[in-house]
Amino acid sequence: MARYIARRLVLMVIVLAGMSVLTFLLTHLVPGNPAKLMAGLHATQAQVDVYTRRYGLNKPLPVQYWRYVTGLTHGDFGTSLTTQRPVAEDLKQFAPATAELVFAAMVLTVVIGVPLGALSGLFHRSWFDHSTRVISVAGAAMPAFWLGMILQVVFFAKLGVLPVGGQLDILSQSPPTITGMVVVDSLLAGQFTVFRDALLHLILPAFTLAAGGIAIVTRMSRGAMEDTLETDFIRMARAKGMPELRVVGRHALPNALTSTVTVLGLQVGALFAGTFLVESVFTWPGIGLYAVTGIRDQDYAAIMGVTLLIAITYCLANLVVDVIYALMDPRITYAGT
Amino acid sequence: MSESGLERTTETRLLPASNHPGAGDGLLSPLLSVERLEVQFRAKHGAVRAVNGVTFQVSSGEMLGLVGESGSGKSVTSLAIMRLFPRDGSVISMGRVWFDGQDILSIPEPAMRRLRGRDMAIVFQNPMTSLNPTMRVGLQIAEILMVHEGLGRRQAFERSEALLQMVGVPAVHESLAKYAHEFSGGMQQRITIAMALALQPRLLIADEPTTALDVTIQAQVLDLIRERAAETGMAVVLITHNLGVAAGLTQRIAVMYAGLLVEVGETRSIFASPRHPYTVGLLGSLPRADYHRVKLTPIPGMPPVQVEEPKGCPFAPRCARQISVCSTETPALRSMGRQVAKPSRAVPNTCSHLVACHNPVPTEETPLMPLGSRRD
Ligand SMILES: Nc1ncnc2c1ncn2[C@@H]1O[C@H](COP(=O)(O)OP(=O)(O)O)[C@@H](O)[C@H]1O
Ligand code: SF4
Ligand SMILES: [Mg+2]
Repeated sequence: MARYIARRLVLMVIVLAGMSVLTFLLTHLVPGNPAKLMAGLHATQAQVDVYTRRYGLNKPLPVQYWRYVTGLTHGDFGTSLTTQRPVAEDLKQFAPATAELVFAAMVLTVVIGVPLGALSGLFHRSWFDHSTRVISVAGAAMPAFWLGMILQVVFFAKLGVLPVGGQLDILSQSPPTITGMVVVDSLLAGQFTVFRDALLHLILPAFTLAAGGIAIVTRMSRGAMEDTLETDFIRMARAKGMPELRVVGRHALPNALTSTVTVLGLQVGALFAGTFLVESVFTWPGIGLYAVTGIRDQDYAAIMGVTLLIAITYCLANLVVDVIYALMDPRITYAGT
Repeated sequence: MSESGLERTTETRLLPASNHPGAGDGLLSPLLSVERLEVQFRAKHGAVRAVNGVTFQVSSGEMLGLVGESGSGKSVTSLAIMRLFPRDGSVISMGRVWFDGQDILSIPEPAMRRLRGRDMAIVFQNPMTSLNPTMRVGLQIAEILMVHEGLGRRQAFERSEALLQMVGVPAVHESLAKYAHEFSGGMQQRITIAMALALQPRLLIADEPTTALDVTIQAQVLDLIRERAAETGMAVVLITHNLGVAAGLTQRIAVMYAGLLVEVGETRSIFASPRHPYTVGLLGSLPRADYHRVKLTPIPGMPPVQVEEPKGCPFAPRCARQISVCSTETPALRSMGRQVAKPSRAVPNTCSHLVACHNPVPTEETPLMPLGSRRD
């Protein structure tokens, strides 16, 4: 297992290297002149040249890339053109909000998707199964920004039960920064009103972000449960006179979950991609919003920083999922291959 | 084919043998009595009739072979006896299945659940898929003892260890903690047999227990079943598509075709003088010592999938002995010895040789010719 993880980590470095080349090329090949953008609409050519030289934008691409990569190895992600700060610092500031959002969405995906799917599989072709399917197909088909806006209209504008915009009410005081995640920090600081406020702010964006994944995980675990219940070993468990609760809970469920876990790994990537839209819709101060701003302003360093951070997290998350999968299914061994 | 002592069979010679009395004889009543069992799978266009009125009995200490080609309804019959169909109305079982005086098809589910695993057990064809891949085999055996007997974990695992020992699994203690995939097919089937025998059931159904195994292992597993049956006196229904497997183990054989029993009789009698053309065909496709290199000659054609109410003899399309009545009247099981007054209503006697055919093969004819070659 340790060897497998080591090999996966090496592989991950290769993936990330390729990733950095790709994003570097893409961001630098799009037309437009970031130095001009930075210098401002009415800047003189001389002012633009200052920016061009400062950020090495006049050097050949390979040189620029090499400078960027050597910087990376020192934790230097370059300087953001928009915030005028090191990208590493920006990421440190914005990443926790995204982590909080993605984590919350992941929790929602699992605690809603898996039981819904498992129950649909168990009671397949019942009214429960049919309504779950209709809802999950709708959930998968609905674009996140559209869902986000509808949820805002219903729960904020009409019902007024949930807040919208940012992580906290303007009147709430931010808790002392420990993890950077407001929900966690407020809890650690014992500020329960702030905690409640932060949690309420989290619900709509997290649900919007999770919706597509919930739909996928529901349908996957429904299928897994349905298939598992038709296996010989379930028939065997019944033939042994096991109570139905044990047949389903102890024999079927663990096997059905095993195949669901692999989907969750892929889901992590989809969640990060979703943050770009969801954070924009809910003005959530995370790296998604940061990246969207960066894209608008051709902020190379910011875009690449966010991309690399997401890529690293995605690779790690999938590694974790694969390890969990191996622990759940004794047939999987990582020796050899 | 056994030769000596099995001269031309006369039906009277095969009547009551003292060790397995029949239902009608007023002696012991059979442990399992299946009466006019019908099983239908509801499908989009009508129902698939997998079992069309099957009647047979098995007594304690007896091993009955249920034989027939794949698709003839053997597994469905066994699942109906264990009542293992989904209860969503997609499968309909009709008729009666008496087990130890209780009508299995109508008792409430909790009572049925207590019978399963404790009094009646089953071993399936594929041991690899019969075992839960993510649960250690020790727990898969022990849970039977914990659920049915209320044993604690420790005791249950101790008994499981003894059970594994009994079925011949080596290194029993380590084996308890292993998963199914860590065993060979033969060992896996021994483990499922240990599960089936955990509570000394009175009826064991073995549904093609060796079909998925290596030829070299098959005999060992069959020996194990025979040995355990002899020791405990349980009744065994051995399902197989191979008459050869049934030959050495069973006292009686019931031949099934298209959801119907076409011939029932003592194993000796079936082998010595098969009367149904289908049985003759099955015997003809058995490998024989003298030309075992020759490719087996199967009966030409396939068993039909029954969708409509059966009309006429289901074997007619493949039968060389067909006569005009065959296509209009479904033949009922009739005793080849004494004629039962009302054959269709009668519960066939366990000891007579019964055949459902309008034109049975005369006893003189050599049974070892496959149907196909006879037609040529
Ligand atoms: N779940 C099912 N749904 C519909 N038809 C089935 C089902 N299971 C079995 N059958 C049909 O019932 C017939 C008998 O099958 P089976 O009892 O498995 O045969 P075998 O004698 O090989 O064990 C076959 O025609 C099969 O197609
Ligand atoms: S009843 Fe007729 S068709 Fe059927 S097996 Fe006998 S002879 Fe053949
Ligand atoms: Mg079968």
